[in-house]
Amino acid sequence: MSDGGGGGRDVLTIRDLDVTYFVRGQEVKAVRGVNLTVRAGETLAVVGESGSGKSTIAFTTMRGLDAAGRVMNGSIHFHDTDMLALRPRELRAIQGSRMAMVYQDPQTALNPAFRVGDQIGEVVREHTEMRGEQADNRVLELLGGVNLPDPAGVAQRYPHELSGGQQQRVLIAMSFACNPELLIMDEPTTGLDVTTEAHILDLVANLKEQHGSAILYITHNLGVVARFCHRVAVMYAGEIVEEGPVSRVFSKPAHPYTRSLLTCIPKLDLSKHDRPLSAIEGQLPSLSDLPTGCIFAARCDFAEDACRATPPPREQIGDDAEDTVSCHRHRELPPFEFERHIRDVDQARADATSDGALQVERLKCFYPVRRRIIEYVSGKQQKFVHAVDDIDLELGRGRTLAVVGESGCGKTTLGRTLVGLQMATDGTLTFEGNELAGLARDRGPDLRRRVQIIFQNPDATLNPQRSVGDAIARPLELFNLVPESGRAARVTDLLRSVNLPDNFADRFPHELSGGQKQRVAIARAFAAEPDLIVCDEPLSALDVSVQAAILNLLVDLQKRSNTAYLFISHDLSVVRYLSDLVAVMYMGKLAEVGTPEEVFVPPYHPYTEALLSAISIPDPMIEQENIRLEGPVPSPVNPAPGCRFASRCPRKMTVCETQEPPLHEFSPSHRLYCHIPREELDKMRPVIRYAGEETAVV
Amino acid sequence: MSNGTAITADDAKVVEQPAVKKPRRVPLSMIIGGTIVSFFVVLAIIGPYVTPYPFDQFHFKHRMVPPSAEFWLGTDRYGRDIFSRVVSGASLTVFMAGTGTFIGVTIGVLIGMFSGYTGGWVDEILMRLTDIAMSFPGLLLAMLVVAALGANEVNAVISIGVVFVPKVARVVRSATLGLRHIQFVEAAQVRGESRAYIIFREILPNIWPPIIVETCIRLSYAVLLVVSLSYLGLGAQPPAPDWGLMIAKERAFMVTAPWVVFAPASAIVLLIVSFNLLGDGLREWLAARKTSDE
Repeated sequence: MSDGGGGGRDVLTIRDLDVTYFVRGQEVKAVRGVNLTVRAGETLAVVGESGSGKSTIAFTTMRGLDAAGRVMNGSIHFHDTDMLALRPRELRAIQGSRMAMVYQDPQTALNPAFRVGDQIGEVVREHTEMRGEQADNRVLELLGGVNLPDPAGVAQRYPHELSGGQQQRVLIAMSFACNPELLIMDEPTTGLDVTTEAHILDLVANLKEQHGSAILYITHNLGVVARFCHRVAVMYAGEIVEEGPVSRVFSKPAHPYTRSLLTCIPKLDLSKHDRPLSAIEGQLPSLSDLPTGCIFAARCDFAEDACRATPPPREQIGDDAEDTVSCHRHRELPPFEFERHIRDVDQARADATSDGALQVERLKCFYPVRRRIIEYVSGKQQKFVHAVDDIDLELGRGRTLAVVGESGCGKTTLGRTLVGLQMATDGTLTFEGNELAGLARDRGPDLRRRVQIIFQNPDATLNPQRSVGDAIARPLELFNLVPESGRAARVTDLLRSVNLPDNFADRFPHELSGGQKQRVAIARAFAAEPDLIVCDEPLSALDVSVQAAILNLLVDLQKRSNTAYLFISHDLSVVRYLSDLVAVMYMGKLAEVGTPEEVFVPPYHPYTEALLSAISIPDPMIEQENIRLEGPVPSPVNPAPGCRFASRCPRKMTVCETQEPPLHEFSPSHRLYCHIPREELDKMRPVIRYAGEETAVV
Repeated sequence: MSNGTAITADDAKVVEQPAVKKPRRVPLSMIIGGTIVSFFVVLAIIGPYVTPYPFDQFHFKHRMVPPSAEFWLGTDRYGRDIFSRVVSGASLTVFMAGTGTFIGVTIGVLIGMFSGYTGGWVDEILMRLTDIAMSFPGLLLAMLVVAALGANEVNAVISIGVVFVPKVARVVRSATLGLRHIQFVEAAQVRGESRAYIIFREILPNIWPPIIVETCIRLSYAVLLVVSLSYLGLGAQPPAPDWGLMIAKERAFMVTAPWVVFAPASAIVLLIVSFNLLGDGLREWLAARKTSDE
């Protein structure tokens, strides 16, 4: 959280901007009356959920609006240049040199057919006088500037040979090629791991310091805003509802929508045993048929008749002219405060008992690496990707075991093996005395019924050609749970249990929103009356307000049905909220297992410590340790002996590189695999603390 | 900034409510192609009943006469009315092309879905076999089949099926591969659905668009194959009023009496072009449906 960095001259000024999309005869008023100013050396965040129009602002500024979109009103000035009046040639002179953009998906922003060095070199040659060796040196300097190890080697590679984090660094290097005065970043870290995200944000902050660039940062992640930006504009359904310095907005949010956003994200100190999350009820209004009054009135807890009648004026809060809110009732709202849940960690530890309905013992899942024919013939030894390597876990009925870790740590493989989408290479999985062996179709029907899965991507989880009712009725039919005459009634029950109206049974997936599709997927999983559900990142594709509602639903259904969840996630706050047990995985190995109250407070595994330090928390009263993982990620193909984390571990010792880490058992539930002696682990400082205190937030 | 535009379009889509559905614009090529194709299909059914003369009636006094009020498209060397022959021939060509395509597409779809869904060695072997089959030019393969089985209409139809199976299987396999690891298919696997259920109930309904388009394109090739085989004497046998056969038998008089070849040749071109138009239009129309629905 850094304040007061701004104060430079205005770089980007947007006034009264209206953008409308003309889609199949409808006018979608995506952006209305937006005013924004970004100054040199300052980072302005635009936050909002999907459909809020935040990306439209970025693309309008870059003049990249597609054919269906039109600027109806307003102006965009870059310094004194009217961006909307520029001709293509003038635009090219500015873009890439004086203003640059970093996109959300680095994979599509880089051309796969060219070496990354050449792609950066093209920008350098296009916009500067540098040629030949001088330009090449500049490319290496840029790649070095984004902390890529071995810049010369990276420059020679093609995009697909780099990891997602490295690709994003290349894009950032490219955007800084000409020291732009304005940098627009559209969700630059959304697809990345938290540890990588932390690195990228540090990097951009650093480059901003050096070059004094102005940054327009578009995101849905409030935590990143709190850590990284000076000012923030909160958008809802195409309008800015609140704008102000980050310190003020996050401590005294004035608009009900901002407040809801801040409270609907689970915090690290909130567990499902405390209270349900506060979700925002209702849906985004239709942008082609806008309500007359306040845009948020339909979903606002504080709305009264006046709110629905007239749109609220923009009012200034405090002395700053850019500290504003658009709400009729912002003076009458009760003061905003973050909750504090200070709990007795020892008490929680005693509660953590398990009857071990699901037992995972020494589970190994290896994928063979494809050999070339010549290697096959010459008898070269088969290599394996060690996706899951010797894991022991236990999970009781009606409880939730969360598996966390970065992408590629094997958490998804673990889930897929459990439900029988993949074969285990070695080890056993038992569920209440029955072995879960082989693929799903080799297991008995009863066992299959009892283990279900909920997938990550709501758009792909339902067959587009089948109605919702059909999808939910299929498990009932397949497992002979309900006779044909009663199926329709049971489908209605299930729809109600996931808070969907009865008539949804006749709808098709393309008529539903992402959250609704995920509810149908949950209803389908519960239709089989399972005892264990594997939830594979079911929330990561959803907006935060929807995410809260789905989390509440999962908790509620678990209480009623006593179903166990194996919850796979990379979001530690969600994991903290939902889980009874947390397993931290790194490169196919367990790093640490325990209750959240054990894992989220010292003693930590060094990897847990780094993960916790990398998450972004939108609460100004919370302090965080700053630990960044350096060093290369080792290859998962036939990994070397020793601790897998050794190459990146900030607390590495020599023994770590050669020997498997030993097990420390702190309690029956808390296991930790590390070479660091126990006394030293006990001395660790909490990574996340309330400001001015030494107690861990948990 | 192609990437940028894609994302903004998405942005607009999210906010759009699934309100009143406007009818989609039907591509012009689909209307034209569809109309001509339906015309030929109607002709194929009612053709023999509406011709002015039976297709095999000789008019010895009117041999090789140019188009006139009496003989709209002229007569051939035996004095047979060419208009009647072309109209009667529609049924033979359309029926043979249609049946051959149906056989090829049906078997091709089954093999393609099975191969794509099963994967691994089975897929590898099946696809290498299709590679071998496809390395023969289509007409040559068809001729080989007919030569082996004997030259008649039934064997010509079978040969078209044989030529089409690998091509259709390829297209369907790639469509199936795209769905093999999609979540709703995996959800069915977790439920323990049978392979047949997954292939026919989960995958097939989602790959109709490419199958339909492929069928249309195959139909136009089938027409070409039917007439080529007849032209070479490997399909319909005289005196059948097959278009390819007509061209083959009359081509010696092409210079002195061009109408004898002109009429059947135009019918072939028109039918092939209209099948292609229909396929193109369908492709566009189905693609538009996909983007607006999902």
